[in-house]
Amino acid sequence: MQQIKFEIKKIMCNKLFLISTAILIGYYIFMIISGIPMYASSPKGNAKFFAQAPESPTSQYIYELEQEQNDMFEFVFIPNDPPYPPGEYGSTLMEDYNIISNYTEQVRYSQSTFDRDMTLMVEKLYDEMKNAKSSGNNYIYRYNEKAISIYNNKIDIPIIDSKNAKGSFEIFHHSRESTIFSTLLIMWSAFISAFCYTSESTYKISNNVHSTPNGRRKLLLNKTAALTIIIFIMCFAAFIVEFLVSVFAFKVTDLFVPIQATPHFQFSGFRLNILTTMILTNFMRFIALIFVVGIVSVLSIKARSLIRPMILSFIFFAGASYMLMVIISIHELKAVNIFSVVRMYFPLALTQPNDYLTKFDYGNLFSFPANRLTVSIGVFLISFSLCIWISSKFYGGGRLRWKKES
Amino acid sequence: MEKRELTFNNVTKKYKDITALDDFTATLEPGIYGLLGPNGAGKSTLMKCIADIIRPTSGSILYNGKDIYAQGAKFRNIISFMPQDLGFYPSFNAMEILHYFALLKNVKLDKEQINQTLDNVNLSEYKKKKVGGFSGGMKRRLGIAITLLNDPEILILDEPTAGLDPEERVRFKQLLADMSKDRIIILATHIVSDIENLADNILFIKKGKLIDTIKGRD
Repeated sequence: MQQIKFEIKKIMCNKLFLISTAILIGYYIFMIISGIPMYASSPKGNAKFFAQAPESPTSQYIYELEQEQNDMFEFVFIPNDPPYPPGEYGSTLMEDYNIISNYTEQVRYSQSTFDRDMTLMVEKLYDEMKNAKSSGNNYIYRYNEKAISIYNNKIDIPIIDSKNAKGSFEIFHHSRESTIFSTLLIMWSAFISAFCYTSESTYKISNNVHSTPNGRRKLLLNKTAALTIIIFIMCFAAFIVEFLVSVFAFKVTDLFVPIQATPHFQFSGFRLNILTTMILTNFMRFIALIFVVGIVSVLSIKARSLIRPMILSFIFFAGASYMLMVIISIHELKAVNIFSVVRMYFPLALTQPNDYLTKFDYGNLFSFPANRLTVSIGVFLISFSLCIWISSKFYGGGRLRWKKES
Repeated sequence: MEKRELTFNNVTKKYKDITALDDFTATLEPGIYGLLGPNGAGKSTLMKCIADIIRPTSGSILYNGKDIYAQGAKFRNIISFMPQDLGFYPSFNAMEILHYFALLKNVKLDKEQINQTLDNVNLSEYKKKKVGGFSGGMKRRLGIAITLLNDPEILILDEPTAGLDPEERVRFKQLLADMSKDRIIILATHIVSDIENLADNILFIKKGKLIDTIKGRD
């Protein structure tokens, strides 16, 4: 335990760690602050909006809007396996979902604006949807059988003051979807891991340290434990911030509302409330960042400074991922499909936890139905264990020995 | 007590085209051994091989008849290595450094013992000072304190007196002389006077080869 404390101190006293953490926290606060006017509702703002809206009680108006949308959607069962029949508006199942959800989101989020023009747009959309319904144009939602069975599995979604439930959760929605924040998180974890594993080389103390009995495998494990603790503290702090902001800005009882009451998660197959989802999403981020620690421990083997593992981390995490996205968008190659499936289950995707919870719970992994979250965590456990095992064999001048020591 | 003996059997270390150690063979018993040789002779390479920082390309090193690399952490428990390039974590103070290394060396030290150790190397008044602000001589003295923490059977010292003032150098030599009765101490230095007054045996190394071995202060 003492050794872990020293490893934590080494990391936290480093100026670059303090700067990188400040940047990360600063960006996170920026996202929260920019999220507040976008997603939150204040009584004052709502009073202004609903004064301009058709005469209707506040929550009843929103409820009516939602009911209209629900009435317009037709549920069609489709087989589990691709190819899925094309949608009315898009060529794939997920495109249909994205188009429809974007359309409905405009209506749902209108309650958070105080702008007169936005109010008029909402009213126009409301009229448009009513006209569409009366002329018989239905939007078609296609689900696979497993997802719909979960969705229909007796989830009671009460008629609530939905602006509060939505606001208390959606205020952090962007942080769970943002690619920039996800990349910042990954690179921050890579940086502190690279620094931690190469600190002996950086400070020219490696010969001294690695010639001691506890200066190799045990030291590596202590460093890994120290990094785990630091990352846990950051994720826990993020959860506390979400919780406190939600409690002080909105009602505490809203935290126990099912996430299906919020627009982004209305088709989620998970039986979760907003509070447990906050805990789960921060835990998922934690898993992803610990995965980064494991990978960097291998990339840091024999490194003489933190430059090499940082460059390799960038290539491995950011470079490969973005290259793949470019390839996928430009070409429709059969091999790329395999990569995109792998990427979907890769633990790094856990830094954008919304993806796991908003869309259908079950996917197809090479024709096997698989819970995506379970597979990602399983991949993490195996890969992390393997990484630590490999790096402990080579850390500090050790050699991979296949023969037992005498 | 078991006789302590460190044996080098045809130890060779090659780095691509460079042969740092060439068929080095010797047997060391308790006493002080001075390593003398020009720059690039292989002194540091030999020391790193003993400290298990690097491995020879061929040959073996035995301690009391057992291969030191097969023993692993067990062997590292009884050695202490002070390299030529001595660095420390700048944000730690002297007490923390000693405590940290005590943990690495499996040594239990209380505050009193840490204070005593710092006193032995004349660093008591700087115990709370961050090591980043230490002079070269102070770092060397701290390095010496770390080396002696685990009461090692084998001491490997690369330029231990570099940066020390004359008084400290004398003090250090006396300390080594007191310890040498039942320990193997291997000392590499460019300061010939340190070796000729201190070492029981002097090993001359050139281009990785052991050229000659002569008796020292006796």
